[in-house]
Amino acid sequence: MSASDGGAGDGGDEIAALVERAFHYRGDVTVRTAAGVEVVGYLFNRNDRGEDRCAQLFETGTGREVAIAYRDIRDVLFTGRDTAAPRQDTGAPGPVGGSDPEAPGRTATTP
Amino acid sequence: MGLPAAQAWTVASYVLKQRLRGRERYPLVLMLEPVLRCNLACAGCGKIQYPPHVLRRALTVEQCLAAVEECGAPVVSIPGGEPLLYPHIGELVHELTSRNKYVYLCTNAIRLKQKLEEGVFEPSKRLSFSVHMDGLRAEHDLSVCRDGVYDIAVDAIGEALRRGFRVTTNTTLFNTAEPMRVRDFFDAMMDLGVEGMMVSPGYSYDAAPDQDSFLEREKTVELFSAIMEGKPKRWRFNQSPLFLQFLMGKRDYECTPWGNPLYTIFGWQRPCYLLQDGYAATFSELMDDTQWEQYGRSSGNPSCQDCMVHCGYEPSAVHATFSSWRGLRDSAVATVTGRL
Repeated sequence: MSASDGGAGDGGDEIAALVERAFHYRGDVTVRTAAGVEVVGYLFNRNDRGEDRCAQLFETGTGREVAIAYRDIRDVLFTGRDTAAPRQDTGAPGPVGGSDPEAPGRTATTP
Repeated sequence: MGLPAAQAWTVASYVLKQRLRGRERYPLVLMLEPVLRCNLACAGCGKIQYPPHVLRRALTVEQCLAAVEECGAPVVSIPGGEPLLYPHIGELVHELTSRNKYVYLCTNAIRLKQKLEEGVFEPSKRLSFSVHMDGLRAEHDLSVCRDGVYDIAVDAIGEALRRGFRVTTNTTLFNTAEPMRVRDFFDAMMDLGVEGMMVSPGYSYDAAPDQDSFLEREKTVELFSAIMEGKPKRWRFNQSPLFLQFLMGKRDYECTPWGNPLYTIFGWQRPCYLLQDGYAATFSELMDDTQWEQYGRSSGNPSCQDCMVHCGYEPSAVHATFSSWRGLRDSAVATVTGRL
């Protein structure tokens, strides 16, 4: 879902609602800015009060912390897998065997 | 109860100091999460569901120490994620204990024996391994979704005790808990020789894989009453007896969400260890700008209605202990007699 597929338009409130949804989403998002830039990352925080409303992301790949003002955001797309969603392949709930991305040979015997 | 006198005195004098200064809100235990990644994926845990690049992130030791200084709490608990996956865990613990902080290193113990053999830690009266144990072998392995973890943890506990470390256990109970089995489990932990146990009902994380096993408030009281009523004196708990009485429905407290603040890779979590309503850049921003009246049971916040978790209510119990002579007396009586 994004601003362009019916979730929001150009209005500030709609962008704020979209950022709020992204904040609660446990996967990466793509933020499209007014300058035509796309920032892909995990949106971990937002400051939605006052004049300086902004979203904060950890950018995928570079690991940089990026802050983008609400007024510069044109769209937010939910492009990464929701890590809190039930697994589709097995029907088992959530991740299996551990979240350590470096852990070898992880297994689980019970869902 | 199982809290060493020196630690109890440190906490008591800290609380009294805050009260004499007239501080309405003060932290008791800093929850410090240097990493979010874990080598388990427990069914009731909602802390680790993030993309891999987020799970690879870690706080620096300097960031951790700055947070500890800024917060000022006398006790630092290091949960996670699994803190033994943090590459600088030995250095961090050393720095904290040398700053006179009491440290609870919360671990699933899968890597504990290895770390002990590598000499990563030195025994200290200020360091306690708080080993995650959710029950006897069958219940624990089911809870952590992996066979064999109970035996690994028991082995590591034995090794830590042999080497002179303080060891406690931390247990989260869900609606699948059977009181008699939990009582047998507490006996087993005491037989192992741990200093004390910590126990709490689980919190219903939205992100947790298993959404069916969280306890509602009435069921929590029912369960803890059945477990704790007439408890043997040999069970030692590393937590406030008034909090245990609260879990048994003998006391009513309001939540103290600022009591155990959480600092993590995202910043200072608002409002508490369990809810994620946003992050503050500094501890003072967390304390000053959070709308605390929106949280706790009396606020009507639906996320708080069934919560009886230790991170919100143990600070309330400690506050109650030092708020009146009666609180102090009740706590002392329960501590000395072992009766709840």
